[in-house]
Amino acid sequence: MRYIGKEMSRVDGVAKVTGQAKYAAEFQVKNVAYGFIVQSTIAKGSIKSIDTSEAEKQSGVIKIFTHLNSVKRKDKDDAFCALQNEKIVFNGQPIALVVAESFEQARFAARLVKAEYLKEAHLTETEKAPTVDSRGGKVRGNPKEALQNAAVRISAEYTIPIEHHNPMEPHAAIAMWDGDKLSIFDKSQGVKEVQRHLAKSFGIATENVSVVSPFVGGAFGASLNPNYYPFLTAAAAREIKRPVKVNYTRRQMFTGHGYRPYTIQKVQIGASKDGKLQAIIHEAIGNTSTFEDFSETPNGFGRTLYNCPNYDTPYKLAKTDLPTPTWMRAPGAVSGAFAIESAIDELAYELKIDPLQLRIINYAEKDPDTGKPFSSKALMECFKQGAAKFGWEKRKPEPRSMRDGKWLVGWGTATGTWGAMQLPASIRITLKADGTANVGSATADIGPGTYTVITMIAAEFLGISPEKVKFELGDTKLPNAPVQGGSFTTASVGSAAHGAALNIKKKLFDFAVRDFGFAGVSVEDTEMAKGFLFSKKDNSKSVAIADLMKKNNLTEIVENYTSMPSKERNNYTSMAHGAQFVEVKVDEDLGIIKVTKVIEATAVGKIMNPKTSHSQEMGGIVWGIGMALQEQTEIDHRYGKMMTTNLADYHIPSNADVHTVETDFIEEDDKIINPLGIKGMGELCLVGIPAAIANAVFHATGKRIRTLPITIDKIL
Amino acid sequence: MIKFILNNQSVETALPKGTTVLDFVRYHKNLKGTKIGCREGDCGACTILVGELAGEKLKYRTMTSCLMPISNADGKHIVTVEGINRDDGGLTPVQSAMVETSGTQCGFCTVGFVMSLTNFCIDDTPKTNEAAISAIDGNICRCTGYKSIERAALSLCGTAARRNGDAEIHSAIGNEIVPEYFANIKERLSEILNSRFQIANSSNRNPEPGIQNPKFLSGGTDLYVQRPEEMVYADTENLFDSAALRFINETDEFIELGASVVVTDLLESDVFNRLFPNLYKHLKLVSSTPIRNMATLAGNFVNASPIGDMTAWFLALDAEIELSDARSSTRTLPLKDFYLGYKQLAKREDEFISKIRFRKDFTHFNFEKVCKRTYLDIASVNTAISLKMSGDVIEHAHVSAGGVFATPLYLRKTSEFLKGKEISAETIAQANEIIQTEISPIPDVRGSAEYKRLLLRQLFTAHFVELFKANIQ
Ligand SMILES: Cc1cc2nc3c(=O)[nH]c(=O)nc-3n(C[C@@H](O)[C@@H](O)[C@H](O)COP(=O)(O)OP(=O)(O)OC[C@H]3O[C@@H](n4cnc5c(N)ncnc54)[C@H](O)[C@@H]3O)c2cc1C
Ligand code: FES
Ligand code: FES
Repeated sequence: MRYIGKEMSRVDGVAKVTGQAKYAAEFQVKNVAYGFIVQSTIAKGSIKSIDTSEAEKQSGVIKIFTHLNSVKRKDKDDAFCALQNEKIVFNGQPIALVVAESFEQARFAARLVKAEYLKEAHLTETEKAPTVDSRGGKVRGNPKEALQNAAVRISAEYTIPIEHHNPMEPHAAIAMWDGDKLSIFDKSQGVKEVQRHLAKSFGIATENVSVVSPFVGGAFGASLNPNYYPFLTAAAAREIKRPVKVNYTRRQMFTGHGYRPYTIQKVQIGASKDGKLQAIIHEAIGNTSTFEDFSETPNGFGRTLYNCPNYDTPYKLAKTDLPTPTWMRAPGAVSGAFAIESAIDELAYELKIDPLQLRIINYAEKDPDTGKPFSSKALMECFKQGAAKFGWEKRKPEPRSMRDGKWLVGWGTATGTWGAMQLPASIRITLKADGTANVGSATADIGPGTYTVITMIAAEFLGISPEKVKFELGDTKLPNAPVQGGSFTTASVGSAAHGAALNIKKKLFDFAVRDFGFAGVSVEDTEMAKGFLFSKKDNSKSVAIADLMKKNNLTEIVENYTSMPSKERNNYTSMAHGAQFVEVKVDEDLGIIKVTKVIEATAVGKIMNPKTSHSQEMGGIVWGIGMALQEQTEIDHRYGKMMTTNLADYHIPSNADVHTVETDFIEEDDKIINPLGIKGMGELCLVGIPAAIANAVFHATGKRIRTLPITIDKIL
Repeated sequence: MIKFILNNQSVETALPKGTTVLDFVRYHKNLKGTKIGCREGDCGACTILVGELAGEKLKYRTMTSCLMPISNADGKHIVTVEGINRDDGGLTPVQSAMVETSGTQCGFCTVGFVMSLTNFCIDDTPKTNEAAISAIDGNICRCTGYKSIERAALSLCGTAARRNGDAEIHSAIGNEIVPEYFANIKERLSEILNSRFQIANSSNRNPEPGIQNPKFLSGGTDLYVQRPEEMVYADTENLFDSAALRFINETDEFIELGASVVVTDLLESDVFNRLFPNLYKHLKLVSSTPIRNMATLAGNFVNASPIGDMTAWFLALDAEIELSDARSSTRTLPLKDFYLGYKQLAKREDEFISKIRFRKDFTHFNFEKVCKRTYLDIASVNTAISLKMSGDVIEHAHVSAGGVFATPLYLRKTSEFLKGKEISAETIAQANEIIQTEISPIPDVRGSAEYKRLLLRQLFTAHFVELFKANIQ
């Protein structure tokens, strides 16, 4: 291959380093007015009265929307919608939108909107909230009995706090109406989702809504669902008959788009003395809101990882007076892995078996849930390569047995897994006679490098250089694509690009057979490159693509193509896997923890672009470090209010928190998942990291920290 | 009128002087390369370069434009990414390094990193790996995990090296780090400054009624975080650029500093580097490069945060502050007597800090700080100590602690106790007991009360481990 599998700098790099890439809030729209959101200061109850008179007097104020004068949604679902009625369902809920001539004026006036409330008692502690059952997966075998009979048992409870995505770009939308046609610039992981949502909400035809989102400054799940602000923005624009822009502040983001739910997990494991797993009961409770159920089944991911005949994963949701949680990078998996991968480590100490060895003893060769084979699974190679690179064999098994001067040293390991999914996706490729191509699909690029990888795939199979390919995304005028999430974008949209390019070749080939004597050549034996279609076997069979088009009076060939996951996939289980090895150093006196080394070996199918892939993996590992050591949205339960709602208090890792990080790929040649063998990696890379760090901290200190984040005070 | 050079363009504006540079460039100049990530100085997405004439020299520093009022841009060169982009569509070495190392993913943090690294290439710090990495200590990236950006930063050390004999800026132009027009910014700034009697932006006064109007403004790094919506329209007296407040003098007995000295000025001061051998190691624990470029000492003292680092530092030097008012009446007060209660100060509203001074007669100084994140973080607990030793005996000691009381705390009893003692494990243990009686930490998101007590105990001991390694074993 010419491009696929080779290092390529991202195609949107120039736009980004020069500041020319346009994010949602940056489109220049004439006569735009600015909306600023006012938020509730209670968690539950209703608005008794709301006084906007002072605010209205301020210079520049155009209009103030509250539940009393706002546009009401045409259809109803459970998702939160702003300014619909007087009810307050979480602290920080939008209760007014102040629209003014400038951002500063709107913000200035917003603080003068005064609400009085009828307060009701709220409940924001997951531990105390009423629960409902959620889908937990089938019981495998007879776990209770097997647990009873097991020679060795462990049982432990793990807690993960609420965490927020905190992409660097705050959410924003600019909306404008032309009659009953709405166009909106939005920060979105899926423009078609926003389009459907707005069309339904306003009761207008889907094609009357245009959503544009070419660049997204990170999202990590925070823009998968349409959030409340696009509707709010569009509604205001319709009422004042002017374009309106609304930008979340960093603080508003914390209640504006969901979060990783607070999760309590209890893991019980039974094993034989030689380390064979007999039973696992992995219970989980995650918080949700009172008005909507969000489930991510954190305990499901361990099920395919270990060969354990008896397995149960009951799952409950706790109804709290908070906003609804949402998907956050590696949803469910990273939370579940923290519990199960910590518990396996605890078991290893109990059994006095090396934690890596214990994982090897229980390695699942087939999907234990379904008995299906894996379409590919190079986890064992990940174990080997990662361990060798890390020097795992030098590990002393006892906790507190390794030191570096005043620092306690700890080594820990964990495993990660994530589904290798593919969804239907459409694309349009226009190959022009001049050898350039336009490619379009309504997917998104929130940072992983979708612009680049789809460009590479199109270039590869159209036989033109990547500079000749112009790939457009993030616009509802383009063919349908799934949201960018679940690590399935490259597998889905990439398969579509591949299929479309092959179809173009087929069309050209048919012309060549008819017009240029390609009879007897099979399409599989031909290739396109440097402007020619030629036979790889017969030198004499070669024709300029421009000539093929000219002969047929064409200036371009347009191919609309939809790729679907293959039927064959159903006979297999397809997962990506990774092994992580972590070194931490802990200052015994001050409790300071440094993650000094992370080696991660992952098996994620075909690596399309090593450069962007390594970057993506390292970013994910640093997410894992953040989750393990820093990230936490604290709630003051007296007010039901999120407290750490800025980057000073909600810590995400800074450069100085990151030391050696190395990522290795074990390539898998998986012909089953999709023609290019793509699995996806953007989420897998952090699954397991928090557990590996917690395990390393235990090895260093002898302290088992079961509540994230592992902060200094928990060590001392 | 506020007058400055924005990239290659001279601008004058009558906008309210509290307007942030960030909103000015984005909303009024349509320069959207500068990003908004937090508006609180935490993320660095809005980083710009600020060029200022200091005597004969034109000096560039990074600042977070979200916390910087246009009044503090007056008479300066403000550079956004549009001001370093090349006309021919090519990339500067900083920009290419970021692309080639995959230092950009979603791209939202990228321009901030580009600006920080550009400043690294044009300022006069040595082009070491360490300096390159610390140049990006104020930038947060949520995508890349930093490793690729670090590679970009390191790759620039060579490129940024001074070319023979050229002044920094000419060297940087030669290396294509900044465009040609930077060559005569110095002259253009002198013209602006000479064209008027003084930097007075008094015409940009239009306070809105009904706001709590702070009397004084310096770097803005506290005020713009605390009440950004009001600051835009506030009418403050700006002290940041008052030349009379920006000096560091040494006399036989004292070091005297102007109130508007920023943390970076200390870092770059020969006197401070001489008196505080670990200056860099200690001050890099304070906020981040762009914030240190804006954060004044007086602002830190007056903000009175219990965990103010510079406050703890100067309390341990037993510093005095000079308070002045518009009528130029002045009085002097020990810093330790400045704090009456939570955010309550021994100062009239119309008094401002004009000068800070401390005696040089200490032989040892140390500063310790623990926070949850390595950089860019407010301390959970901090402490500083200065000692004058004569032989093994402590002649006098001053100890401060932050994060363990409602105000920044000078530990009077502990300091008194240490006088005349010999350094020993026992002295430290006894002092630690006294400390515990002097503090009353308040539990908050940075830790529980017990945790803070424990931390201060460890940090106080750490002073002696650091200063007298052998003696206390
Ligand atoms: C991201 C970030 C990180 C930070 N990290 C740290 C840290 O690690 N450690 C730390 O200690 N601090 C930290 N800070 C706060 C620190 O930047 C401020 O305390 C700074 O020193 C205040 O100075 P300023 O000039 O910016 O003050 P301003 O915001 O201009 O003013 C602060 C207060 O002082 C008053 N004031 C200013 N000058 C005078 C004067 N001469 N006389 C009388 N009153 C005056 C003002 O009216 C106001 O009340 C951080 C801030 C940010 C934004
Ligand atoms: S916007 Fe984050 S530092 Fe200015
Ligand atoms: S590239 Fe996305 S935040 Fe840095």
